[in-house]
Amino acid sequence: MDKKLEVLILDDELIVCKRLKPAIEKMGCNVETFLEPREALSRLEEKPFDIVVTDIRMDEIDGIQVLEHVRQQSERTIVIVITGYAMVSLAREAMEKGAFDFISKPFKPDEIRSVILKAAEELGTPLDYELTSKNLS
Amino acid sequence: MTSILISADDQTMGLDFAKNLAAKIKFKCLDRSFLKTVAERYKTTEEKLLKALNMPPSSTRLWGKTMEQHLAYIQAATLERLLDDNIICEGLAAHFYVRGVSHILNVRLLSDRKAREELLMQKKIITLKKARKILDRETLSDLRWSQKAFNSDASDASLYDMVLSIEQMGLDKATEVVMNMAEYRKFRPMTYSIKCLQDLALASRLHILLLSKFSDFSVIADGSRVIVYIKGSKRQKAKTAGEIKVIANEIPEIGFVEVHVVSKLPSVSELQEIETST
Repeated sequence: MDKKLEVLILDDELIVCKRLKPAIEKMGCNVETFLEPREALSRLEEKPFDIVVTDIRMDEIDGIQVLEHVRQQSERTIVIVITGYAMVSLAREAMEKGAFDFISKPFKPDEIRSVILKAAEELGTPLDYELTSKNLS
Repeated sequence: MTSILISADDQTMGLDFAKNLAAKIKFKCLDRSFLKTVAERYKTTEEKLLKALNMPPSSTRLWGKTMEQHLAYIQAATLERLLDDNIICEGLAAHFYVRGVSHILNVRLLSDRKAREELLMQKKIITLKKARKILDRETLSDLRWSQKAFNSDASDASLYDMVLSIEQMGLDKATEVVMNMAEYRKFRPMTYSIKCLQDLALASRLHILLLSKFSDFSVIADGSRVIVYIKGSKRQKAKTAGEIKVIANEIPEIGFVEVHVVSKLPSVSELQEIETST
């Protein structure tokens, strides 16, 4: 049986975690969600994840720090950054520090799924899932 | 891969640089030859499009709606073309209207002024003083054009990601620097930056349609939502908004239109702030 992709979602907004978890589980991934960056980082020490989806603006530890930590710990783990405060400088900083993609909120479920599909391809474990939306970049 | 915008204070040098760079990194070069495509698409002439890119207002010549319209055609067509990626764009004033797209590298080249003066002296058999006067006049003309067309000054360094002095570096070294810069991860396309470019392209399409009926307005887009700021009287707001929405209906990608009738249009930086906060 093919191993499921392990996805960690970190966002201090509960509604984001609540919406993203089933949206990505639907693709055949195992998903764990976290509201607190410290808890997420602690979990990352315990278990290797294939994909991390992280918000940027959080208390204490921001998403860029999470990104740096994850990339330092595991070059294989793909990090997707999501934010409601997107701007050019932040986007470039995230990409420079190794983010796989940078998505501005709000986004439709199929937008994040499209990126997860590309991430899975990049990891060499493509997902057997078809997007429903017609207009996706 | 990134796309690269090249602008220069010497258009000939800028074009040569762009073509050379495109050949080296195997990108497509989008230059003023693209105006032929734009002319066919919008049923106008290359001559009118070129005038819109070159001709500043003067005491004897007003810079009217025709110029604005032709500039809007160039803008919309160029933005759409840039969605293809792997493009070097030169000579289409893109450095003024492709703003806030993180995967597009915006480069300004400063020519070797002394070399230009000498070339002009030899070509026209004129004195150094006259050559300088001609170049100064060209610089002033470009400034007046850009201020009228985009309320911007091409010599404003904040427009660019990098400004290179060809006098100091030479063309070959400058090409190498741009090639290296374009390789940086920060200039890779991402979902966010592609969306920013799509938003600019959508707004520019509506801009063209609105020009047929209105003037003094700005359009920004965020996905399928567009916001129009238009100068006018609040008493006319409902009528104006209604007319704008009817026009916007012609573009199937637009789902929602928000119209603000204002006494003063937001500046470029204010619009960028609004775009970030939407």
